Amino acid sequence: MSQWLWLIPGAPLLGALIIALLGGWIRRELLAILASCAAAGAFLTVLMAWLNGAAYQPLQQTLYTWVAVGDWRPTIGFTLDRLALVMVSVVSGVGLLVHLYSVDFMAEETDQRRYYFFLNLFLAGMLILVLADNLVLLYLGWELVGLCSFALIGFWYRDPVRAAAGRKAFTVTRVGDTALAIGIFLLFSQFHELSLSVLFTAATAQWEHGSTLATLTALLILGGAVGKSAQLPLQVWLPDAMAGPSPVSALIHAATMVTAGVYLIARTHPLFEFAPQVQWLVAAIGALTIVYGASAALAQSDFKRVLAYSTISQIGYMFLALGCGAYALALFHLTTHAFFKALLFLSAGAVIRASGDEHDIHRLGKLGGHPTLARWTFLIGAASLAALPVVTAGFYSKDAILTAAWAAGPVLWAFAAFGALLTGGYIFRTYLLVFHGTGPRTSAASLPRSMVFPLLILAVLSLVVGFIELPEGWPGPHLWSAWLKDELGLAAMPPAAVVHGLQIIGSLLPLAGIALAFVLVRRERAGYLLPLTTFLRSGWGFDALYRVALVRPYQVLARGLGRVVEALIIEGGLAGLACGFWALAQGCRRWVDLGILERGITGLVAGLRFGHMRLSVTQNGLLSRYALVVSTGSLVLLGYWLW
Amino acid sequence: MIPLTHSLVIAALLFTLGLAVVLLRRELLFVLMGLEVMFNGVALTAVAAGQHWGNADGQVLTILLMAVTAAELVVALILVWLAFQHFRAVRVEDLARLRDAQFRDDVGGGAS
Repeated sequence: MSQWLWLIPGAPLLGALIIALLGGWIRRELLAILASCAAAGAFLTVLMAWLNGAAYQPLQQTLYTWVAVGDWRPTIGFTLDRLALVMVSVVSGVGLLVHLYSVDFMAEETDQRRYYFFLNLFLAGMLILVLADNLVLLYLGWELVGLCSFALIGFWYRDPVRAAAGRKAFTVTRVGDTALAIGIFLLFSQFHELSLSVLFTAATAQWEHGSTLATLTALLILGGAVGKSAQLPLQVWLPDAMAGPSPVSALIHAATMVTAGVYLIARTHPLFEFAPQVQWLVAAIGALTIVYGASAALAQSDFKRVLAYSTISQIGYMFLALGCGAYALALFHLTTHAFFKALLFLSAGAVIRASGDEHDIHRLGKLGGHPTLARWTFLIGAASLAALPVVTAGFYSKDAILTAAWAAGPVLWAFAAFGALLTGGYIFRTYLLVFHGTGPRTSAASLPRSMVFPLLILAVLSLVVGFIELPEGWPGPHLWSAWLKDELGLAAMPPAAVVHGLQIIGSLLPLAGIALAFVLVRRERAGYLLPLTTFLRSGWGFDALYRVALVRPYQVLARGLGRVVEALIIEGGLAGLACGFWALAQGCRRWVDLGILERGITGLVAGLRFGHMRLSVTQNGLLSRYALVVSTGSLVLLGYWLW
Repeated sequence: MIPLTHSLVIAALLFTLGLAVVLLRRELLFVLMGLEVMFNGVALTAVAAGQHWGNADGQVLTILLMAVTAAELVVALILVWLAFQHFRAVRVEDLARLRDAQFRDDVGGGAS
């Protein structure tokens, strides 16, 4: 099985290449099928890996040495351990479903070749990032997904707002990427090796617990993760990234790429364990982001922006779990989140498309007549996101994180619990506003089949995935933590009595949130607005803050520099220079012109003519003479060198 | 087995002969031939060194060199033929056209 590992990222990469190089000769409808087949190829390979026992036996394949510089040889090598197996299953599975969904969703687009090229390339990049066995290859995948994200957010680039959203995403994530790159450089300068397994052993041998270097490295890696996963303070790009097509939002900006940061921290967790302060910082960022995202989502009026802020908030839960040392639980929430958030985005996409590209949830409610299936699947996704007790997958993953957070610190738990309350509030507010508005409830529109299947599959997964890991103390399977224990360790859990108390509170919070949603919607219909609505709607004013704190000073600096340079150097300097030359010229004319210049020039001309005569002998255009000069020269050089 | 020195002497001879042809003959075709002889000298060095060190790289290099030389020769021959067709030039100095008119007479022949 190991020798087929390359096929996982290879199949979508091949698909992307074919589409890019030969796409002009392929019919538009076939492009979508080709891209889907490439995604299916990756998914089937992952399935084969499962069947061949990859769940217990890590697979490893080294394709070739990428570059060889001295004794440093980064390879194109893939490792499929349990952590990677979870990630590739989620990425290729959701990727395949989104490809299928796109077949009909994007059917009327004219530029499908670009769309499917970048979609396939994204899938390949993400799978490379996940499978990479060294940090260089991981960084390649990291940048590849960033590029595809940029290209797909700005897919409708003729609209300047959308193009600007793509640029913003690229610029903001670049801050994080640079931090990650510097972190990788730092690791290399320490260990002269970037292969992950070697790195971890070397770090264990050389680093001290809590040393400055370990803290700095972990901090830089965290910077990369924060940028890619849209956590505070680099979260501003994600809400604007909703300018892309809905399937792209579902795949890249909800299910896979934005969770790359979570994966990165889980992958490098041995390094983080040397830096307890940074780990605490991860948890703090997560806790703050949970409340930030959930409260901002509560006031949004754009359908997809609600989901974007929700994604920010949910990834906050994963960061919280990572900070608490509950890596397996973070991965668990990553998986369930990938399913229910992709489901929410795809349902929202279907609704938005059926209503003629209307994004405002209030107007969507007035329009009504949304596809029935999309309504039900959205409800399932919303229930799973709100973590409705017992029946949804979201409950199991989020509840476990809440419990682990209590063990790390009740303050963290309080943030997460408050976030859980708000989560039920914002998503059911959205649901009620969109689907229970004043418009007609029934719909004549039916969805195309290629959109129905992904929705149904994701809906089922959003409900049942949670059952593989029941909460602490419940009878039934606890497969997830036990399976990942060897690689990621177990999180510290509070005592059993506390756990039960927390579980009861955790089950009541979503219900309270839903009740809150009913109140909110009634007030909103009556015309009252939440206090601070504009503040929350603008995402706590981060955009304005950055504009004032970063963009404006930068522009002022640029403009100021322009003015200074222009005024001082170009105008002042040139004017002065001109004056000087003028004076010099005057002097020359008086003193030099007649006496020195006349004679000097005559001499110079004579000298030049003499030199020209001598030198032109070597440039006489005779090929054999040139050859003679060349061979004599090389003979002399060779002789000098040997002697 | 042939000693390394013998092959190197032969290679040096070939190279020098080729160089002499390039330097002394003025016909385009002879110049090309001289170049080929020089190439063969180099290739022989590679093969001999490969044999001496028990390494196949020299032979691989030579085969690659042959392929490249053949391709290069094709282009060069076409150029010679075109030079003949357009300028009626068979000698090297017939093609010396990027020069001051002042010195054109030194060489004899001259461009049409």
